[in-house]
Amino acid sequence: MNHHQPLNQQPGGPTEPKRPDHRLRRTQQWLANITGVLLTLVIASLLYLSHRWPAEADISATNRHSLSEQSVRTVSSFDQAIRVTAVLGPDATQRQAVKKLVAQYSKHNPRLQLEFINPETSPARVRELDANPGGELIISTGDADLYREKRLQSLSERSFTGALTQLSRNANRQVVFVTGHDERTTQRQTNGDFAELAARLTQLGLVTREISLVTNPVIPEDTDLLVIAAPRKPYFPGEVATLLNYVSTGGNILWLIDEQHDVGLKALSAELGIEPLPGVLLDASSKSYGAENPTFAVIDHSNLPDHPVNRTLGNPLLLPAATALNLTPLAGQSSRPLFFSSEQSWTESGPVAGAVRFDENTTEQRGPLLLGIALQRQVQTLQPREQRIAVIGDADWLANQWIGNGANLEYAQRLFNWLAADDAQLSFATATPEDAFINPASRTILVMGGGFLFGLPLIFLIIAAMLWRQQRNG
Amino acid sequence: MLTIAAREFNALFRSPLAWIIAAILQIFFAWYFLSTLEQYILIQDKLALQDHPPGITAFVTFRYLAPCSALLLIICPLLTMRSYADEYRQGTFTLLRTAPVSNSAIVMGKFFGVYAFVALLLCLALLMPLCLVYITNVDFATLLWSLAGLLAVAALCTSAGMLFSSLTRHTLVAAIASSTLLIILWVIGKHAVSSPVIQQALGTLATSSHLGSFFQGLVSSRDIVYFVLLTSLFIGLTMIRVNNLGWQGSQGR
Repeated sequence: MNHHQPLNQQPGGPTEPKRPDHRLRRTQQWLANITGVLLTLVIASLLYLSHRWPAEADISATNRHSLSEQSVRTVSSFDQAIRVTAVLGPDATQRQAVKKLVAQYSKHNPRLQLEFINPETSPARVRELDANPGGELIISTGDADLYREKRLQSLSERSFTGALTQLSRNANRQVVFVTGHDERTTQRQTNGDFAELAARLTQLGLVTREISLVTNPVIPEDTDLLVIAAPRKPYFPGEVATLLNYVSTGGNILWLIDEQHDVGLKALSAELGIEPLPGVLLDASSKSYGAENPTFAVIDHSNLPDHPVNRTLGNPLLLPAATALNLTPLAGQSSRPLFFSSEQSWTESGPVAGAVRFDENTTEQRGPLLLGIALQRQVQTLQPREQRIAVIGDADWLANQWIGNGANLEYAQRLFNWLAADDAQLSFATATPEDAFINPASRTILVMGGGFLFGLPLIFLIIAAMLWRQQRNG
Repeated sequence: MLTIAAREFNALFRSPLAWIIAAILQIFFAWYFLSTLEQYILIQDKLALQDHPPGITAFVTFRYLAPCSALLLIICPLLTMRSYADEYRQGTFTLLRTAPVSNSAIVMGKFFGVYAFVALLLCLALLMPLCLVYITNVDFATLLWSLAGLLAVAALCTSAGMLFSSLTRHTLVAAIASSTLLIILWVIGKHAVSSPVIQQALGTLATSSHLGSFFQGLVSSRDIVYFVLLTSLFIGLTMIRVNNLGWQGSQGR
């Protein structure tokens, strides 16, 4: 280990010790080296063993490193094997993150297995799985005939539990779009249409299809949610009757309104107590978000009242050319606002060109104005249940061109889940720690800062000076 | 052993340099802590939206205390560099060895003397997060476990500093060599290596990869064992070195 001469000896000094016996000294040196090597080997083996069988305990106040109750419940409920195939490059950090999360789940259900596929070394396998080579997590369950899978591109406890929740259901939810009135269609990729939305809903386990009310005078029974996506051509009276019948028998509905088109749905308006206000909504606050013109309504935290759909939304919603709504409360239904426009908004009745501003004493109304509303009714059938209806004064925010902006997609997913009565996906929540909020105006912080930054160092320097003087004098 | 530890501790405690180091450290700690606090206040709304959001305690332990532990890579070798090297130079080591104590007691005594001083310095760093009790409900378990993390790094750095001090009579060489080893040990697993086995082995050896759990309120056996083993290794090697000197010395008489 070392080959030094004894350092405490002063060679050539007056009390120079006798030279030790050369052989004995070499043996001792050799023995010391061997002991050193042996000690290192023992420590290395123990280190290896400790990594082989690790144990962990979460002592944080809110159990931040453990799964939420809902995740544990969801993963424990599986009685079939769950296969997690991670298509991921060799990056150790990414793989470790996947391993860590999956291990937390498999602690509660040993039937969960994880397999890594490296797209660089197994391209054929990746092609066979039709996986995204950039990284994808494929969670699957069931045998050949009942095979179900979910794919995740972003990894979090929320997304993983969401995927497991969908896999645990045998049937997908049916979202039916009404067609035949020049609505936004889920079939086209053009800017104003809904193909992207449909694809995203499918990932959530919400299957979309379109029906014509002319050929289907009764809306299919398996419909979980009916969508009226901003029709531009009028409904026939028979179609309106079909809609009213669906609503009165407790069907869930999402109605996206574009004010510019009168499509003969006044009866539905009356049934729900909601009507669009004339004019297009302009929002002066959208400028601060970089919008080119004020027809974009920007909805941030302050304009999202408490509602299950609204919780934990990070970015603002962006609604192009929205229509404000007016609500008349009706007996037998509870109504809760989903979002309002900002205070700097108003309904512009004139043309949107040049310098536009709010005109007093006209039909124009100043914000905040209602843009989205959720209605709930109790349906008395054999099994009493809750009917859910949402009316939004815009369809563009869900269109291919805009759905990726702000929190539009996330909000859409939450809204559709809520409407399709899939509360399990909405109720995912983790504990907020007690020390989460610090009041920035607290005086204690100022006093503390001053004391620690200047007071304490000064005391130390005074002690140092005193010690230095003491040593110099003494 | 206690006498030796007390002697070592007193020597540091009475040195003006140690107090100047403490003052500089305190300014650094306070500045860093306050900027972390400011950062938290600015983003607390966004953090609250996350799954399993951190509170101020978890934020401060991870963003302030964990980076502070890297300072020990420099401070500990500076405090230990004189432990043996200076005694060799002044010839007082022979005197120490003639005292009626075993070589292992000398090594442990010297280790605990410096370690107690480093622990006091670490309490300075912890003082500010502790004062958060005046403004919120602090997560004490997370805070105390992060102190354990700091003490674990301190033990590793002190023992490594001691080993190098016992190998040379040049104090500066001891400090630079031990700091270099500690820094290499700190960053060793950070770079991607083509072989996963080597990558894993390097990750196992890297100090930084064993710190996260301590500062996030997670008790992990592998991380505790890592610090205990490596500290034991350095202390063990120091003992072998001092014993070897002892044999050679006694043979020399």
